[in-house]
Amino acid sequence: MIHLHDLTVKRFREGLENKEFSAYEIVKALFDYIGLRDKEIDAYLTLNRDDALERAAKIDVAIAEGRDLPPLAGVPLAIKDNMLIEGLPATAGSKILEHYISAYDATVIKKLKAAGAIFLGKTNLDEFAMGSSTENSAFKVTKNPHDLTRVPGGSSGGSAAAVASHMAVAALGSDTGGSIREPAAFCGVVGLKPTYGAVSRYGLIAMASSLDQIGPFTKTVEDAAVIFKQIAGYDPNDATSAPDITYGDNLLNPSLEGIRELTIGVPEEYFVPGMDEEVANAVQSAVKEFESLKVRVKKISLPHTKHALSVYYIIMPAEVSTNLSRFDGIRYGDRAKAENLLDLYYRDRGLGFGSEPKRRIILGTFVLSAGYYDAYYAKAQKVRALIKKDFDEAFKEVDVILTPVAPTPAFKIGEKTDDPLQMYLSDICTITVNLAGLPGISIPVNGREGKLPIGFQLIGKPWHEADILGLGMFYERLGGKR
Amino acid sequence: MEFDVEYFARLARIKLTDAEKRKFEKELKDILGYVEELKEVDTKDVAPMTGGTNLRSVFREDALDVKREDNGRGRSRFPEEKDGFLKVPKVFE
Repeated sequence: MIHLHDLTVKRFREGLENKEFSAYEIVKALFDYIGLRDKEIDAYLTLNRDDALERAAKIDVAIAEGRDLPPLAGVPLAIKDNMLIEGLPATAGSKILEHYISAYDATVIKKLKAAGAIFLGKTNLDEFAMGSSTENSAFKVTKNPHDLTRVPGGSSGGSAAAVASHMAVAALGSDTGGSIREPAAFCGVVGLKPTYGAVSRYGLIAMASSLDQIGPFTKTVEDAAVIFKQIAGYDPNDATSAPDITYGDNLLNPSLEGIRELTIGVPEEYFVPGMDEEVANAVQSAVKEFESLKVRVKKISLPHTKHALSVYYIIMPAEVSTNLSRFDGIRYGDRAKAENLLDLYYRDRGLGFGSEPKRRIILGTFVLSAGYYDAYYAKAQKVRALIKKDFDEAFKEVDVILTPVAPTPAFKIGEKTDDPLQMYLSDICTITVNLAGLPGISIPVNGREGKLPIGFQLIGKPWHEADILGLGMFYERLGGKR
Repeated sequence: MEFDVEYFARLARIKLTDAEKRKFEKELKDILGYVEELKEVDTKDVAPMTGGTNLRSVFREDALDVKREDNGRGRSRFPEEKDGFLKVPKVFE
């Protein structure tokens, strides 16, 4: 049978069609491997073994009967534990939801089920997706498969580590300020954050609603395109979902002539002082490889970049403080013994939330409060408009923007846990993309076998995922990936 | 600046331990000190960006969707119930 290391979404499909292996054999092998390897990685919070094996067996019966297979038939996926799968826990990495069982399927899950996918389990994350290292989980610390003393990145660290260590063929994560792209870069896999409004968030536990977006982790850019095409699309249950956008087959079949018509811009502001030299060099090597593909590259400027972190750490906590007000122990979750309703709120929220959600809820409450609203929240919204305008201007000259994903490779476990501001700086290259609602993809720099992975980011115009995926697919072919 | 962490924690309905109060006060002051730099940015005549994109509003009929298969399922997650109703501690003394 095929080695799990070689298994991609595309290769899985070929293997099923050519009867090299059955879906059941692969899913069984994955659970056997998870049983060994996840003891040291700690990527999964819940396993969905019986249901996954049952679904795999049904796919094999459909193959034996010669029926048409749906596009993701039998593909074994890992899902970040802030998305709802009916009947399974959805903890969001928080004690406050430790015993919560999902009452319905998120729209992305419904779509993936319809496409034939199989869910191996739910993966670890920073509590309520707040963090850059997955160390803020209330349950465990996930390790980086490339070096067990280092973090996998976050907040979708469990999903990134599961794919990187071949404990899943692909996975879903969510990205509010870099929570898909940064862990993808740290773990050496591909991570796509789609355009705001491209993928429904119905059934995603909300963090910051003007920034959140769901996207895939995969071993190849080609696989990212395949999964993205299945989860994208209008959903009346998400009021921010775009009603009139459709993605065609150009997502999957880019041409070299097509990508040569694109111009890549490289913004000087993203090569920040204090950036790791190895990261800067690795990203420049990716630029050179695009030049060798005869794609035009030019220098650009995004002058308001330096304000993005401040804007993000006002707008995001403001939205967090409102979104997390629903966690009050009333309708679900664990309920403390309390004298009266007010006392119940204080206790449930005081005991249920960890440090990072508390810190952000209090900060958000402050920036939205009377007397401070204009100086902080309203000001941040205006600077956010300027950041978006920078991109609008740049996209008159170039089609795609190339930057680093994070200022350093994966850092050591415990290195930044005592200094929130240092931790927040890990997101400095990714948050602008969420603030402006753009698509961004993190792709591993070629030729780093045996070293810590480094990622580069391609940022596209809204709804132009095909551009960044197309460039990415040709880049990975240069690196020898199919 | 002065930052009364206890006041804002109360507004947010979060009970903090004394250790948490000290820790958060310092950390939140650091963060607010960092974001001070926004004051330098000239935002005269800039319209605020109030959402994720410039998407237009989507409207639907204000009608009950009785066919939705998920209706009522949340009830099974109630921490306490009586006769199918959600039970909560008393609001007034």
